[in-house]
Amino acid sequence: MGPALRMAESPSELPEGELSALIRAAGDGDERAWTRLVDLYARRVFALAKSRRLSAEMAEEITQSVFATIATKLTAGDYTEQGRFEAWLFRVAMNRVRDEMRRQKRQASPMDASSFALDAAPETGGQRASVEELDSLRGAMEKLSDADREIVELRHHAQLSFKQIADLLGEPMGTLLARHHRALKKLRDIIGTGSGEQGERKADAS
Amino acid sequence: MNEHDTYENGTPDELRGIESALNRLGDAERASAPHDFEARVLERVRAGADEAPRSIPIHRHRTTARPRVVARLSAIAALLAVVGGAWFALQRTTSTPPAADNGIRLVSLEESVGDLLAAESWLDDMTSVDTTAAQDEADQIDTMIGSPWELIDTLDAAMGGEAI
Repeated sequence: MGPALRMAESPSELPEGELSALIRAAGDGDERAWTRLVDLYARRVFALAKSRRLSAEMAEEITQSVFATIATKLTAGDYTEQGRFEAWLFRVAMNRVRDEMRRQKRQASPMDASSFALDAAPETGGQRASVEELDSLRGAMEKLSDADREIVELRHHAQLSFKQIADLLGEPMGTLLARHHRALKKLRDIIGTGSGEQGERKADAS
Repeated sequence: MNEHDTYENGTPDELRGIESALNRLGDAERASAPHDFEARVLERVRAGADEAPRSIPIHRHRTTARPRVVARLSAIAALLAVVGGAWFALQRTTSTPPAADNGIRLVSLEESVGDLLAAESWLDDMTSVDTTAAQDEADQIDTMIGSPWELIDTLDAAMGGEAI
């Protein structure tokens, strides 16, 4: 299965009840169910880690660790399906990313140079995003507060719905939407002024 | 992209551009996963290894507690030997004829100082090893600090995500 096809998959397109059935089957150790869960979520977890400029190797290690944790809990019967699987999975992922960020901050370990390299932009809907555009957006995201950045990453990298993000962060939907709106405005202002400090100040003032 | 639940009244026109750009960035990050990425994740699931992510190797000297204790005891023994040797040498020189007295005392003193300097550099090595020991202990504390997240993960799972 190629990346383009994987990217086209989204849990929101799953027929009702299929995710619950997948989770049950995965808990029973069904190989095909696990393959499907990995196809649905692994790249989204990877993107969440990668957005913090972790190396591809570390982002993959975090993804593997998250799935190992999920597998352990599911097969041990420690998870009770209540329609919050995605919120749970990405909560685990966020915890792993935070742990790694904290560890790297303390150890000041060198980041992989490739994490700063401009990745090839994929074809999306017949449009090819410019590498410069993506890199300037990455830079602008680093100027957001951690809380705002998390919302943007959960929304656009992990592809969670606003309801799922609200569940995960324990925030009322209205607050969450307002924060997302504010973060987008801030990013637009930062990029609009060449991501300089002037843009940051303007964004802070707005 | 998860577009089934954008803003209730739609994303404001002024922000559609930046929202699309963020969607493209998300697509790019997901597409940048390395070759055979899913296969390796599945392999890890099969292995069932539930462990914290491995850190990128950092090159530094590491020692275990046992060699450190042995090294400390050796350093103390060396110091005692030097001091004892110096004292013994001084005792012996007191019965030496006066003509050779000063020369012997000087040689003995030089040997003692040399031994002391050697012992000092050895102790200095021990101290520098101990900074990596402190780093090891900090790692352990970091793991302990990280473990509440594991607890929260477990609680979340048991409560079907209710804990979050």
